[in-house]
Amino acid sequence: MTEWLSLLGYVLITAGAIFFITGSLGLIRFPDLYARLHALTKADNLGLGLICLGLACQAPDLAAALKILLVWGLILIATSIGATLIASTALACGLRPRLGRPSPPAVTRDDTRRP
Amino acid sequence: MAARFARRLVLLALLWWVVSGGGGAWIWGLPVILVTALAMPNSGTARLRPLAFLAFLPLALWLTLRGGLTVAVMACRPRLDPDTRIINHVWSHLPEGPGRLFMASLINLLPGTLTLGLTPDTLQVHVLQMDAGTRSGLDRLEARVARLFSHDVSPQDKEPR
Repeated sequence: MTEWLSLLGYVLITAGAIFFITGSLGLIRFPDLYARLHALTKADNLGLGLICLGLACQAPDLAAALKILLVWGLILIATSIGATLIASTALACGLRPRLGRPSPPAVTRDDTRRP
Repeated sequence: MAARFARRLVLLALLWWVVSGGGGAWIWGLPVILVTALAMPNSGTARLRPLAFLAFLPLALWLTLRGGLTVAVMACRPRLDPDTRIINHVWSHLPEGPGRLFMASLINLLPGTLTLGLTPDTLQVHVLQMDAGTRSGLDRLEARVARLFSHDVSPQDKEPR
């Protein structure tokens, strides 16, 4: 049982590292600050979550495992609020987001169809 | 009031148990828990329904997983052509207060959405890859969050996600 948990831990940690790499790739490749924030908040958080889960599988007891998951939860809250603060500050400073297809910045409520 | 205090005590005791590494040092823990429970300000999270929150967690985790996967796949594509938009989501279920902040923070973790700003009427959202389900997804999420904070939702919004 412990060996299986340990093995599962390694699998989860590897998967987490892959998500971190794709998050960093997005940070480099995405066109503007707002899109890069997407990469940082989503791929990296998932990577961190998988790494924490993997470490929790290998933790010596339940309290240690929960402590590692608590770290993930706290970082999740901090990243999420941080991303909004960075995005709203950038917008307030006049940094215009690059929009993918030609469309007005604020589309109307029923304009959900693709061209 | 008493129920809220009891809930706080249980949560803080659990937190102490986790942080102290498995129930050590209660002689320090108990006074700290008591003082914290008494001194803690009333935040909006007190209105969160605990059972509904537990039921909501799997959905939030699933959406987080999908969010990470979507961005990861997009970042690895040889050609980047995201259909990036900024949309204004009009509040329809949530009244002003902690529920809106919760929703604004939650959106950052979901597939392809990022909160740019909150106004009394709308939530400005940056969408990385706009598709037909984006707006209805936001509407459904708002209805879910409203139920989490025990606000009434009109019946047509009660279908499961």
